[in-house]
Amino acid sequence: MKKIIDIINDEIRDTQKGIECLPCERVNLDHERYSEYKDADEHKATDIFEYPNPGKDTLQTAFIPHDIPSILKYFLDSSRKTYKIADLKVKGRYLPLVAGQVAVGVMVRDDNNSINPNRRFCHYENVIAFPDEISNDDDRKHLANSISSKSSTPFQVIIYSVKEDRDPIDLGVAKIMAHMAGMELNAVHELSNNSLLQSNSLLVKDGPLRYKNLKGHNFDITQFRNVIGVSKRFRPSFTLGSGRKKVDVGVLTSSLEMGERTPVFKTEEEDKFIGMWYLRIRPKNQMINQLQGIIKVECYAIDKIEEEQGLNSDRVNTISEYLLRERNVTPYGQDYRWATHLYPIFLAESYIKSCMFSNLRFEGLF
Amino acid sequence: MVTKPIGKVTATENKPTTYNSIRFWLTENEEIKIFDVVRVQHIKGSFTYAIVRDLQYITDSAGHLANYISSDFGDISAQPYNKRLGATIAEAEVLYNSAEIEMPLRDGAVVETADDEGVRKALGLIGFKKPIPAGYISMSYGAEVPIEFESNYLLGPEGAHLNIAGISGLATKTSFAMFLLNSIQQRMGKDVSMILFNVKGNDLLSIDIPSKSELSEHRKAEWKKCGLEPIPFKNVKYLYPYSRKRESSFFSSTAARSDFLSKQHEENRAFNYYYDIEYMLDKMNLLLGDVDDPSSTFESIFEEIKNIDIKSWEAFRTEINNRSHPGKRSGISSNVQSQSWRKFYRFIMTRTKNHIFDQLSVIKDPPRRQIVVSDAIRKLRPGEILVVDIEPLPDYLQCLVVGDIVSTVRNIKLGEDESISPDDLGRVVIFADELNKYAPKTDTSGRSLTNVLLEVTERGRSLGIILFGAEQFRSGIHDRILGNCSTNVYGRTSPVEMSKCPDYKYFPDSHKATITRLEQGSLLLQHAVFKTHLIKVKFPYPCYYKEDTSK
Repeated sequence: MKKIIDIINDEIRDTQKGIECLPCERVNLDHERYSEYKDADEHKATDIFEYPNPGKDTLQTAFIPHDIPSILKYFLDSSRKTYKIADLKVKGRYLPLVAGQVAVGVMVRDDNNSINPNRRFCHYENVIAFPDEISNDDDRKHLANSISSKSSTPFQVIIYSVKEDRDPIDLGVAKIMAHMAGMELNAVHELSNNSLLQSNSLLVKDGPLRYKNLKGHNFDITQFRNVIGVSKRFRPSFTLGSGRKKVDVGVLTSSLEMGERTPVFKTEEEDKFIGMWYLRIRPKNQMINQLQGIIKVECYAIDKIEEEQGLNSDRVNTISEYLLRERNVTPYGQDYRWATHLYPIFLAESYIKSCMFSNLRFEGLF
Repeated sequence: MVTKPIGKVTATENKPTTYNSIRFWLTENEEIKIFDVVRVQHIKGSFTYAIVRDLQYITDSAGHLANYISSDFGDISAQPYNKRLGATIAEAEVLYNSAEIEMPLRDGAVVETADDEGVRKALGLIGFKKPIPAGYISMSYGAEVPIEFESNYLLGPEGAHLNIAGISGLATKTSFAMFLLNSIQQRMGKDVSMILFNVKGNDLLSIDIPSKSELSEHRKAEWKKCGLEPIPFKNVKYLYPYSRKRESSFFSSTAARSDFLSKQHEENRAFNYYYDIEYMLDKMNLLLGDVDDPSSTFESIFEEIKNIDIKSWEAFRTEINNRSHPGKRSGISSNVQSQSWRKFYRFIMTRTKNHIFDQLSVIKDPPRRQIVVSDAIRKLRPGEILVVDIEPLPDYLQCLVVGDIVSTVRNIKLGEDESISPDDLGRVVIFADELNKYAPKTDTSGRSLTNVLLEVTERGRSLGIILFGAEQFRSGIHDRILGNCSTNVYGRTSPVEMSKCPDYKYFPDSHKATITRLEQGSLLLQHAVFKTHLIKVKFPYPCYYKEDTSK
């Protein structure tokens, strides 16, 4: 089987003179810089976004009996592995070629309360991010076809834009992550189009609901009516409220006891309103710090009423109750984020990662 | 039987499939058990068969603490809403591939329930010249496959001898031995004669009498599964210890039921064995075989007494008494000191009190039906069974009788007995329960009986003397006896015994666990031609009369 670098070189020689793909030390780019908490973005959350306004900082969530079926039916997670696999010598530049494996997995809870992958909505793709020095659409398609057929492993070719002030590797990785976000959107789109998302069968998506700059993707917010985003981590210095009522998330949430939540706060993503609140799902006295065991939940405000008044308190309470019940079992010992890692999401993550090539095998393709 | 998929092979970096072993996961609702045989799809359209050796249920939990935490930090009443990901992983030993492919099985290969014919091939049960039914395997998925021994490896000449170990009281050791002997009689009745020692009550003293009540259909079906008829033994003769007490039925000292005993004597199928002094002079070594004799003085005595011309036990005792007193030894030439004769005399006085030590009676009526053991053996013919009751005798006399019979058979087979041809007996199967009495592991003194049994097990397969031994503890049996058994049967035993006996050392843990909890009527077989180390079988309940016979 021909190596992908050789295939690219063969194609480049045929299409653009002077460009050369050079082997380099293959590096996995998935190492994560240490950060205790993180948010996807830095939007302000100034106002309470819940009606009726609860008027207090902490609200108790009820514990639901075991025998009541859950409304949290679908669970979505996506994952990627990225690698710097070659360098490209092009027009006086020396730019990295970044490749990755991206996958989106959807798990479904069946009537027996077993969590299984719904393969129809699970997708896996290999991508290579070229710098925009090769931006011709035909070239991109030609390269993708050639690599896919000659290496017998299907690949998509995407383009990242080179910017002077940014590390091109980060740009390549960001492009691959944007591709992954697009796949997430497609999965939501498919679930919604198949009428699987209802008020009693919600989709829980791992991470925040922040979709932006998604060129080529039809983002329809109404498809997110029954989608919630659950984040395992958040930035404690993120400020909530305004004026004298300003308080950092870390302060507000540290007083939450087991099963308590904050009111919903309003934030924005481009032109979309998002309601977000924090819920403690583990007893504080068992945690290593005050903020461990708290999840951040997000919902889009879908209709006019919600956009104006905020999320309905009853709905927020109901979602919180079912999320609280998801706390067990835990991936303790397998994931350092165990205290906020919902098990179905953990399964989705495990499933999609198990579908990927090992690093050795993937790097070996090049 | 139609096969159905039950799981898939899993090969990982740490636990790959090998030429010899595989692991596979089972679908959630599938149930299998240890010793089930499964079929796996392999390359080139072939099938590989494997026998399940162990079952594990694994979860994605990193540790017990994770499970503790998942129950709300140790709250017993907490019910985790999410079921933890888990799967049953079976470990299996590869037995056979239909295309003789030895490549390891591939990850993801579909595992199915096995077809009967494939199971027989996989276990090495195909192509037997003279198969002897030995029970049947019962798989968890409903298949029942008859198991056979190859006669050439059970009764010689390729291999021979069988040993059965297991704790008493589970109706397994003797029951299996009797089932197998019945199987031999039904399949090879014309070639094999048998000698059985009765050591427990009247266990084997009615083996030619049908069960008290008719066998249930289930039990009959078990016999049919093995290809056998549910019938008691045929052509059985009985030898009982002679008793002078007239009130004892027919001068027999036995626990046999009187009506059965009466019938046997009337049909001329029962006799009373005895030891007269002329016969016994050659057998003294067997009578005192268990006595420590570090300076071999008894050996010298045994040689000297062979030359004594004596006609009665009383005269013999007097003669020995005389030799043990220096004052009475005038005219007696002996190299043995009187002190040793005295010791010998004490043993003779205590060990020859039993009624079996008597002279042939001259009274015709009532008939004593006395017979010397060696004569009874000489009259044995292929197809016949001789049951020798030794239960009423103390241990040292049981050893005498067993040793006498085994050495008589050996002498005949070696051609040392001019009164009979070695072929007249056919192949002789000797079944001895409580073998540990006759060939104990701890015997380092080279006592006569152990030596005879060692010789029989080492040379017997070519001579046609086959020893079927049974005992509670394998650890108590002489290593060379066990080493010569080409067929071994393991019944239920305790972990203590398994830790003592090196033979269990190499059993996988799952087999050790199985042995400690084998149910009644089940045991593990090891046979020279099986393609796997152990097979778990069930066997039909004996169909002859037993006091505790139940349907």
